[in-house]
Amino acid sequence: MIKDNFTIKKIQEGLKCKDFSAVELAKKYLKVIEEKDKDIHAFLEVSENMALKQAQEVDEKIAKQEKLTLLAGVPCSVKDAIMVEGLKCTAGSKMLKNYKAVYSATSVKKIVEQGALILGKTNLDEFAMGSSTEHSAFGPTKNPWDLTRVPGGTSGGSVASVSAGENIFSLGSDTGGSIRQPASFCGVVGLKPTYGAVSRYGLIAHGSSLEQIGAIANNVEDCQTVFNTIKGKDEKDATSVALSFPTTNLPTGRQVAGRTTNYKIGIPREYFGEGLDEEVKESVLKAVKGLEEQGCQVKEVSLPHAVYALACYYIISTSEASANLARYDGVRYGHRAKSQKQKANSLLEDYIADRSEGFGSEVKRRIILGTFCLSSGYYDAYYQKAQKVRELIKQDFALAFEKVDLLITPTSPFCAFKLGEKLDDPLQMYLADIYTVSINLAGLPALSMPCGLNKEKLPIGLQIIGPHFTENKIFDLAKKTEITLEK
Amino acid sequence: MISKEDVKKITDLARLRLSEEEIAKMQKDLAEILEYINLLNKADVSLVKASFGSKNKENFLRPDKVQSISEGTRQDILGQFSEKQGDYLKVKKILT
Repeated sequence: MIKDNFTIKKIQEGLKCKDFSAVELAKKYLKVIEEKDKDIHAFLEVSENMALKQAQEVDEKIAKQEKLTLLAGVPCSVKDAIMVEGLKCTAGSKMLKNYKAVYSATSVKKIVEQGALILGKTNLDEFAMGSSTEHSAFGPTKNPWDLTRVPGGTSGGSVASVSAGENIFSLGSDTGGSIRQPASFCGVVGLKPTYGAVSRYGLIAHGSSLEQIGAIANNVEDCQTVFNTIKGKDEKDATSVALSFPTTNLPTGRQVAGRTTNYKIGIPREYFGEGLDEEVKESVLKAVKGLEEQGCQVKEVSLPHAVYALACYYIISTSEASANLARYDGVRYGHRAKSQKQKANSLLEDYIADRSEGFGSEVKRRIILGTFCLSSGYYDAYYQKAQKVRELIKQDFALAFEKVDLLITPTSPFCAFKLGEKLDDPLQMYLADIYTVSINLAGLPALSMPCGLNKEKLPIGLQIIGPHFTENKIFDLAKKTEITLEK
Repeated sequence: MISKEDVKKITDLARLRLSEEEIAKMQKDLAEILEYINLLNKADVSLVKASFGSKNKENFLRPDKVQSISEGTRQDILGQFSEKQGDYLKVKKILT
C-alpha cells in the first residue's frame, strides 16, 4: 500500500522493503495528477511514457540488488523553462508552443542519473516574467490552498504541483524570487542557490546574471537532497563553481536539533517596515522567537540600500531579458507568423511579425523597458547606475554577514492574492518580489519555508538568507525552524 | 516623461510592432515604472564602481572540439526550421 505524505526517505525505504515498486509509485502519482490537475493546472505536459520507462529502469536495478541512487523512484516535475530532451519546452509562451527540446539541462541529467521519475513539465509565467503564473500563454495555475488565488510565480506550476501532492519535488528557476515567492504562497520549501552553485545549462535564459535553477519540495530535507544532486561545476556553464558539500549521510532534522550550533541570526529592519502585512510579520517574528528560545542569538541589522533593490532589479533584469530574448526570431525554431508571411518582403519584417505575434504583453513590456534602459542616451542613467547600486546592495549584505551568520526575513510582504487582482497593474505585481530580488542582485543563497497560516488559512513564508555558498548552514537553520514550528 | 514617439522608436529597436492602442498602454505603463525606477536617483553612487554580477574572476575555458549528435537529434533540429531547402535553412534575401 502506498501512503500519502511521502518523503524521499520514505520512498527509498518503501522501495528497499519492496512495499511497492517504482512503477506503482509512478502510476499512483500520475493518477493524482489526472484527478487534481483539472482544477489546479500545474502541468503543461504530462510525460507518462518517460516516467514509466524511468520507473522500470529503477525496478530493474532493484531486482538486480543494485544500490539505490539518491533519488531512485522519486516522482518529480520540471518547470517548463528547463529543457528535458524529447519533451516540449514552451517557457509558457506561444513563441515556443511547439518547440521540442533537443538536449537536457545539466540539472535534469543529474536528477535522472540519480533515478528520479519525470512526470511532466510545469506551468510558469511566460519566459519566467511575472509573480503569479497568470502571464502563462496557456492559462494560469491555481493555488491548491484556495483555487480562487494565484500560486505565485514564476515557478507557480512547480510549486502548486508539490503543494498538491502531485509529485515529491520539482525543479524551478529563480531570477528575482520565482522559486521562493510561490513556495511561500503555497506553503512549501524552495531554495534559490548561490549564483554559480547549480549549472544554468539548459535553462531558457531571462536574466543571466541573476538566475539559478533550484529545488522545491515539501520539507527541508528533501529540498536539500535535491540541491545536493544538482549542484556543482559544469563545463557547459562557465559561471558554475565546484562545491565541496557532503552528499551522503545527511543529518535528519532531529539530529540537527540536538546539535549545539547556535547561529547568530540577523533581522534586517528594512524588511519589517511599511507595506508588510501584519499577520506575516507576526508569524515570522514568532518563528524567530522560537529559535531564540532554542539558543540562537538574534540581532537587528540594517541593509540601508534595500529600498533601491526593486528598482535596480527591474533595470538589470529587463536589460538582460531584452538581450536574451533577441534570439527569438521564428527562423530556426519558434513561432512563425502566418498572417504576415506572404506580405512581408524582408527578413526584418518577418522577425517583427514573428516576435509581435509570439510574445505576450508582459514579455513585450519588459523587452521594451530593457531596450530603453540600454539605448543610447539612457544607458548611463539607468543600466550603469543600477549596476552601481547593485554593488551597494552587495556591500550591505557583506557588512551584515560580518555581524551575523544568517538573516531571516519574510519571503513576500503578503499571502497569495486573488487571481486577476494585480494583473492589470504591472508595478503592483512587481512589488510582490520586494523581499526576494536583492538576493539575486547579490548572488546569495536563500530559502523560503512555511512558518504558519494567516486567518484565511493561507500559508505564510519565511526567508533565510546566507553568505555565498552557505546552503548547508541555511538548511541546518531551516531544519531547526521546522522543529521549532512543530512544537 | 516618455513620449509616444519614444515608445515607437524603442519598439522598433526591440524588433516589435504594437497597435496604436498598445502603444498608449505601453506609454502609460512605462511612465509609471520609470517614475518608480527614478528612485535610484536618490542613491549616492559617487564612490562605487559598477558591478557586473559574477564573483568569478577567473576565465573558464573548455576545448573547442566537435561533438557528434545522433541522426534523430539532427532531424529534430532541422524539423523546427521555419523554411528549408534540403538540409539548409531558408530565409528571405538579406542583401538586395
